[in-house]
Amino acid sequence: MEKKKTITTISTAVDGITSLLSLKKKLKRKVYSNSGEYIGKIKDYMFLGVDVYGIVVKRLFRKVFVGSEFLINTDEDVQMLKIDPITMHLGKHVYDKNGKYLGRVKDLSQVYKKNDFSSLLVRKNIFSKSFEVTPKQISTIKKNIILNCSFEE
Amino acid sequence: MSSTTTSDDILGKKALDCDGDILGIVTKLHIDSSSKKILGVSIEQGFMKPDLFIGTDSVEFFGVDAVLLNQSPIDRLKGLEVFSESGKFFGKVVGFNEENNNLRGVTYRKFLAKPGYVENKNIKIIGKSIIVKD
Repeated sequence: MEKKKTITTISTAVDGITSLLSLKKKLKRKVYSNSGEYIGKIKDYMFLGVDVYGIVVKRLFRKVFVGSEFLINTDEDVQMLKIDPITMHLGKHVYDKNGKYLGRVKDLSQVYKKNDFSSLLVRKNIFSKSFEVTPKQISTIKKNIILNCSFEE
Repeated sequence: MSSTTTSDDILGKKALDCDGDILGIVTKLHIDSSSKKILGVSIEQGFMKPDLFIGTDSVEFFGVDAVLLNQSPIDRLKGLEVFSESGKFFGKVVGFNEENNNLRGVTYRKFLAKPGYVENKNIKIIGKSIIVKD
């Protein structure tokens, strides 16, 4: 007997499954921010009932949950976001306006539930004291961070 | 003399473009022997990459730990991935069309497929990737 390749459909809502999106195909898909920066891969989909509430994106040891309101709904090669997640700032190098290297972003204070931060925690090395940088002090925040003020040790 | 900078303060420092991206290490100072003025600096971009010459008009500031530039070299576009707004992968940048450091468009290619071209007006964002308007 020949093995059937199609899946038997038991549903009153749809005729076939070809027009539906497969979760299996979407998992491990690359995720890019609004500015085109690679964020990580889709690790998990989070549901509440039958509604998708968001995705868990993983890169190395860091995981971030992104709500479905920030996802661009397509079935293309990669998953694009409508935002640049604030977690992207972690690990960025920080320089003051005089080109002095101040350290890396170790942590950030998130504005409750929003994709915004109230301050960044910067530290040069494990022996140095960490200090806070507020959004007002930032001149450029793209690939790295350049401040609009100078810092004295 | 406090506002003056010596070659020791510049050579060996990192060069950062206007986006804060590290371009490489400053290795040479170019001086016009007749006018005795600094024309620019050479930046070593790393293994297998050609050195980059940056004129002093593109230098924003000779900083303590880094040299800050006021623009980003167009050469940096090569190799960037090109996506549509909805996430379709078009390929990687293999060339670009520019005039006086103003970008006119980029040529991209996906594996062995025919190369494509996108004009600057159809580009939404140039960052770590290039996002093209749908």
